[in-house]
Amino acid sequence: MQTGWIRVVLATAILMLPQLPVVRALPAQEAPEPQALVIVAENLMAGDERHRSLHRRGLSAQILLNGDVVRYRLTFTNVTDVDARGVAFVDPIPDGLRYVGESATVDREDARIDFSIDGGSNYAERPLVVENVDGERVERPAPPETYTHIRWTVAGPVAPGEQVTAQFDARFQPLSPESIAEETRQEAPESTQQDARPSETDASG
Amino acid sequence: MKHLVTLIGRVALPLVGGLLLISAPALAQPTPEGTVITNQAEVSWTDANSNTYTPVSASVDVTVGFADGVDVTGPASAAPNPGSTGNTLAYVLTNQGNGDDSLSVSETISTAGITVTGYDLDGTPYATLALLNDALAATLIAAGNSVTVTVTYDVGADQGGVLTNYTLTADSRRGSAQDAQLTAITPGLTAGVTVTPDAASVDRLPSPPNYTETFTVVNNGDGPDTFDLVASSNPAEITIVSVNGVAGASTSVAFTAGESIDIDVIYTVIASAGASDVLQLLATSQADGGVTDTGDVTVNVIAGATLGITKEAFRDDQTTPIAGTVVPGEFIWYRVTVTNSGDTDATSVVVTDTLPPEVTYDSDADDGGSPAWSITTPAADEVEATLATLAFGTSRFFWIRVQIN
Repeated sequence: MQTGWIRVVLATAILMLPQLPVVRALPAQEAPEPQALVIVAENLMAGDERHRSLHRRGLSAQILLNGDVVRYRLTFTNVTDVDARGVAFVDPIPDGLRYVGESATVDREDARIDFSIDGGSNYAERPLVVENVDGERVERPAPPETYTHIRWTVAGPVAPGEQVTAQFDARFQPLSPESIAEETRQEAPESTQQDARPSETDASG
Repeated sequence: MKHLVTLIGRVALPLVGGLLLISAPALAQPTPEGTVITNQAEVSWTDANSNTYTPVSASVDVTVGFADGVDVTGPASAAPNPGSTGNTLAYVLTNQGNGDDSLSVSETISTAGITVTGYDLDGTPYATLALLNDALAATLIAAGNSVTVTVTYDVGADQGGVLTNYTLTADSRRGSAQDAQLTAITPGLTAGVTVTPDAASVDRLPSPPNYTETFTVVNNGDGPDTFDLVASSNPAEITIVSVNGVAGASTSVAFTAGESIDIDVIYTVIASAGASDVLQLLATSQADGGVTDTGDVTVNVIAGATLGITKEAFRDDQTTPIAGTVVPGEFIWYRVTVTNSGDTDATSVVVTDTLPPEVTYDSDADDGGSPAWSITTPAADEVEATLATLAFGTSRFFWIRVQIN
């Protein structure tokens, strides 16, 4: 499993532009220092015909095309000498991409996943929105595509050197003229309200 | 506990109370090609002693590729004049992709009603579609930008009211996006019709048989048209049987522009000789109900042919009527005269003369008129003379020479 993950990281190297917090040149014989947080992205559609066509034209097959799904994988490594507690990842959904429902996972059973639909101010396992339907207030789950942030919270300690890996998928969906028109049509609903039900561990207050 | 915020796009604004009012999300625009999307995550933690550590963030970039998109807008319809030239249709071709693109165009024309004579790309004329496409290939259109293609065309002179669908289709050269605009071109129709004869007259016997009058209907409009044809009689001395083969007094017939069709009106004459009637055929344009014309024929009801016959005897000189006696062995001539005192010509006039037993047939002779008599002797004592036509008001005769037994 670990080997496979390394392979994926290599495969997506083109997407990992060097924006990690610590970047420094290392002597060839010196092992790289472990990073507390590493995030990689993999275009799950990189093998389809459209991307092979890009590759044949000398372009990277990892380039995002309409409808592509990107898998983001975040790995926390406890680089300290003591147990880490209250480990929490927060990842805003990148602009231009939309969260794919049910895709967020984490490799710790004592971790929970919460979502925000209001820019990270509030989190809940299943954010709700409230609509005014014929004067009645109706609650319904917020569409996953409207999620703005994901937060993974690990309840238990993470031992020194131990890793926690979380991931989620997001779809790149530049709006077509038809979908822009559809959004315009839906722009003015009767009344749209959102009830971001906070999670128990909501730290935003 | 619930939190109140109003969301505008992804910006949260606190409000009073426990609800969250959200406006519609800001409309997203296609992410431009080449945009680098950065995903920056953060991790935070403490330790068993509640020491806090500086949160650590990391990021990863992905780059947006090209997504093609093409939109074509233009007139949904056009109504040029038949026979007009230099008509134009302007189409706006928009690159709705997220990066630079160039386009190619193709066209379809549903009928031969129009002829495209040229094109124009943002003010520069091109004689052919191929030249236009060459120019388009060299025209890089930025995302969200447009070019205008103007199509110039002529309309056939006989295309009034004829629908021609012109479709301009644009294709992305970098991708597979395609869009098309259909323009329904319907030149205005000026209707016109003439029906002849006018003020004609014919003489007819009382029926039977049925009679046929032929009217000539001409579509003088500048396009195809269908005409409602209605026959009528006044004062109903005749009865309409059919119009153009359709039972009854009316029918409809489609005409191409300029087409002339003979329309037969069949009728019976129910009046007696001496009556008259006006048979009319009215043609009305279905394209323009105000366009009509009428042809008319006066039907005069006449009597038939009336034949009379006389037979005279002459000496052998054919000039001296026999007033006295004849003697055995003498040759004499019979002159048989037929007269038509009726209102119409008599045809196939047949005269049969059975000779008395006291004479023997010798020969016969025509009167020299036209048509000639056809004279035969079916039996030794019988002479049959036939005349094809005996005009009304005229007489014809023939001779039979016999010998007294």
